[in-house]
Amino acid sequence: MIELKNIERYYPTGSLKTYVLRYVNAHIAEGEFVSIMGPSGSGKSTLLHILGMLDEPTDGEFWFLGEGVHKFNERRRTEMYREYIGFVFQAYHLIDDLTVYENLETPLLYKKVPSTERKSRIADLLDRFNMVAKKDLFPSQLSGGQQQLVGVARALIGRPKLILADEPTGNLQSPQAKEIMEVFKTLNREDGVTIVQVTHSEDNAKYGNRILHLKDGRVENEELVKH
Amino acid sequence: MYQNYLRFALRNLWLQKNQTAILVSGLALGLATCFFISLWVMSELSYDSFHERSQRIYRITEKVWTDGSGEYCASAPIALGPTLLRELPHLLENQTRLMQLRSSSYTLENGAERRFNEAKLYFAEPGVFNMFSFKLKTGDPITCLQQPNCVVLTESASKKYFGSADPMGKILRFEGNKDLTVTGLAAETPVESHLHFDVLVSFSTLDNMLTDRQKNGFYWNPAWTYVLLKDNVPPSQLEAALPGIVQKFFPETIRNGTTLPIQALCDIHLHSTGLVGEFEPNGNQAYVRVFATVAIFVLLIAIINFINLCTAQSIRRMKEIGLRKTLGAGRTSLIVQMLGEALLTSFFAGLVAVVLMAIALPFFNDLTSKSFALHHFWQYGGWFLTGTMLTGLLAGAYPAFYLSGFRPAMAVKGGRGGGFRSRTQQALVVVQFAISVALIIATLVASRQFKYLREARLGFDRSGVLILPVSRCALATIDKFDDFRRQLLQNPLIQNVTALEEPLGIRFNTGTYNPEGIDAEKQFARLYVRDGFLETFGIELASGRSFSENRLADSSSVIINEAMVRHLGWGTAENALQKRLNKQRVVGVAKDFHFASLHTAIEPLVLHVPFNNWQNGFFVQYMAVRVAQKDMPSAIQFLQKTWEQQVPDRAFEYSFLDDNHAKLYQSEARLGQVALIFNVLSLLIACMGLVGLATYLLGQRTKEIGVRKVLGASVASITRLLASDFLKLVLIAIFIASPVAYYFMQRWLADFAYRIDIQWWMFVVAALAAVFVAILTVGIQSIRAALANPVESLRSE
Repeated sequence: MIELKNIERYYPTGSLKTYVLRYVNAHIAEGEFVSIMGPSGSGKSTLLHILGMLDEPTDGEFWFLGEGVHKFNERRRTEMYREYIGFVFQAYHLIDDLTVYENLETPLLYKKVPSTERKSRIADLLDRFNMVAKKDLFPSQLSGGQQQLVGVARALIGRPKLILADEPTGNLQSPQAKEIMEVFKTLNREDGVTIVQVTHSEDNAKYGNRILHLKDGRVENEELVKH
Repeated sequence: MYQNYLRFALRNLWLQKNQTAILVSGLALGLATCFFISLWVMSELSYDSFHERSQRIYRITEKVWTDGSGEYCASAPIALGPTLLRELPHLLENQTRLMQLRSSSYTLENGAERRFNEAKLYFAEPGVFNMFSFKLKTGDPITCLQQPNCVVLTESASKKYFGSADPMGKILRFEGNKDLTVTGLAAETPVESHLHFDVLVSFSTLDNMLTDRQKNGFYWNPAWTYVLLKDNVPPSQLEAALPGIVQKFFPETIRNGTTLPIQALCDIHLHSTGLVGEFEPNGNQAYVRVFATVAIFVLLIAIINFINLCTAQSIRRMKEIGLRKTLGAGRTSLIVQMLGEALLTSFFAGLVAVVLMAIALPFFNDLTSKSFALHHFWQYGGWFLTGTMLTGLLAGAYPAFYLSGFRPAMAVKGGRGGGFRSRTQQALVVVQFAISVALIIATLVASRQFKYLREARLGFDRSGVLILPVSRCALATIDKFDDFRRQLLQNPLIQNVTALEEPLGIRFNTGTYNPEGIDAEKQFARLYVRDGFLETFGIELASGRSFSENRLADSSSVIINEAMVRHLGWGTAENALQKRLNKQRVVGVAKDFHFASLHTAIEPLVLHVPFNNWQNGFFVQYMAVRVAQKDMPSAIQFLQKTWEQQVPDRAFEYSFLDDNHAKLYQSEARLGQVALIFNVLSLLIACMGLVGLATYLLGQRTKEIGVRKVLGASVASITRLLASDFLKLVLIAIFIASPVAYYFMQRWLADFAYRIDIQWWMFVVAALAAVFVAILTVGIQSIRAALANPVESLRSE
């Protein structure tokens, strides 16, 4: 599904280049659950942003479902977001001015999903995450764990093939974190959704089937998780 | 989808109540101001266009000019109109003349208790109603002014004389010696007309009031003459034919210096600068241009405001925009959403503006002496709506296109890029303040100039002088007048009495002269006065003497002014004494005084005294009385009592000379006020923008402020830090605005013959005002931000 070849990302600082990513090669197959780990500044988030097409590599090739992302224009990227990719952020990043229901509805609006189907999909998800009673609340009225549940639900609502999660439990207490990770695991196992997450926590990383260890912008080693 | 956008937009506006209030009210003020000025400008531009045939009607003016002096007059000889119609039948379809005898008002009466002096009374031909499109309520437009001794009244004039009774066929007595029959009732003349009348007397009535020479000669030019061109005849053909008419009919003495410039009817109101003998003061094209510019600037300030605030607001929403992109929002849909929000806001602003205008309408009418009504709003409603929506689009476009182009990573990562570091926004603030500062400077210069015009040393003393019209009344003979004067002077409250041809400092006439030593005839400004003239007005002599009370001694004497001495090259004032003009001896040289308005330079002038009753009756139209200022009411009371005893045939009527002068500069004074109000508004709008912007930008720096406080920064140092960013921009604006304002105001002042110098303090005042306002608005916001508890601001991350 994802093929990275010699991905590089650097910023010019004066006459020097500061590398964030260097010669990153990776292959992620459909249905995998991959965790990216590494110390602060190792380039985890940058790599995830590149995977999510939020950022572009300065060099190298990125193939997504057999297409060269480096050739995508903005319109094509927008299509990717609509059809294939869902994001979960550490800081939840819900739209503050919209209610839970509206936050969930927004991706469907952009996908031009008909009104009746929108309603049933949102109802399903709210039901699944036990949030029916909260649908008219604004994000600021929810706890962190609840907000992240909405964040996950929003990522799922468009039925993406790939979920990219940037430290999804970084701001959460461990019981809530566990709940979120269980959701990811179920999604991966039962719905076959490919998941790539950045995490600091060994425990969370173990929910996946493979771990990429990053150090100083390079993939130091790969580790398969034994269940 | 759009429904959702609308819902979000409304909620957004509601959630940001304070900012929305600033956004909406700023734009509303700008729109209302701009629309008001536009109404005024359109009104000025639409003068006389209500006449159905306005495109084919031209006024014939007369310019008699030799060697840099002479007269350019709105009226023409009485005989010219019919002559043109006879001589140029292939060009002209019709002609119409209006005139006043040499008088400022006429007495009409319906019984002794209903006697009034009418200033807006004109002798007019039937064309007023069948060539022009003035409306007649009752009466026949063709015949009502055909027969001698017919009169047409406007409704308000009719009410004065006849109450609510039907005036048709009733009799009005004219000047105590002629009965006029009411043959028509006219609607009030529209505001947008260069001519306003209350009473029209049939032109043929003049037949037995004038001599043949007056009626048929081409020297005296009292008749406003209009011609109607035939269909498809270009005005250039008429222009080409007129020199031939001059050569064929005009007297030899002025033939070579005379031209007959034509004016399109619709041009009269705004393009008559320099013409004398006008019905009433006209508009000025320069002011229209100035105001149109101000309107555009005010709107520009409001739009910039809107752009700045929208941009600032959307920077706050960058995170939302980035997120929406990751959720699949295309660029187009983001642009549509943001433009839609801007449009919605501007639409609200438009609504508020309409309410504001409806409230302010009476004040505006008062200020401009116009009569706009709510229906004008509907008339121009389409324009207004379009303007409002365009403003919204324009204002929304920048943030929409700018922000929707951001890469989502920047937004999602919590990047707070843009902000005040955005050059565009800084530039916009600078432009906004530059316009405000320039407008302040312009207002200062203009109001100083207008004050100067009002208070300038005229070379004569105009305070405490009463002006009374006396033409064709019992005082028109020399002996009667002298009697009357003697009676008045017995009262110590009456300091001096004289008579003159036109109110001093307002109008004058011209005459043809043959100065000694020069072999040509020249046109010079002229005033007939009675003895005591120089003394009554406190005009000083440069040499020689004043007119003496013994009129026979002075019947062939003239007094000239210093400008005349210079013009004729006669050397010193002493040298000029005993020289001759038209064989009349110069007995005195008066120091220069402003016998015409301050808009023009002092020209050469000749003062005469009338030597017989005919001259006195014809040339002397006003009595001027200087009264003691310490007890004006009793002086006027005494004057009225004496008048009513001596002059029973004419209603007592007076005006103060300084009031008359105030009227002369009324348009300037009024425009000064209007400009002041609009400038205050524009500054206000600019400040609202600054407040809004400051609030946003400080909001963005909440965290920085919190951190600085935790690190030990004082409130004062933080305030200084925050405010200095804005002050820098305001200072740049001042530096840009000052030279620009200087340049344009210098050019504006060049239109005035007498003007002030632009002084450095005007720039300082404008700069201080702008800095003060900026410090005040930004300072308050900064202090509030600086005072906030750092825990609050740090928690927000």
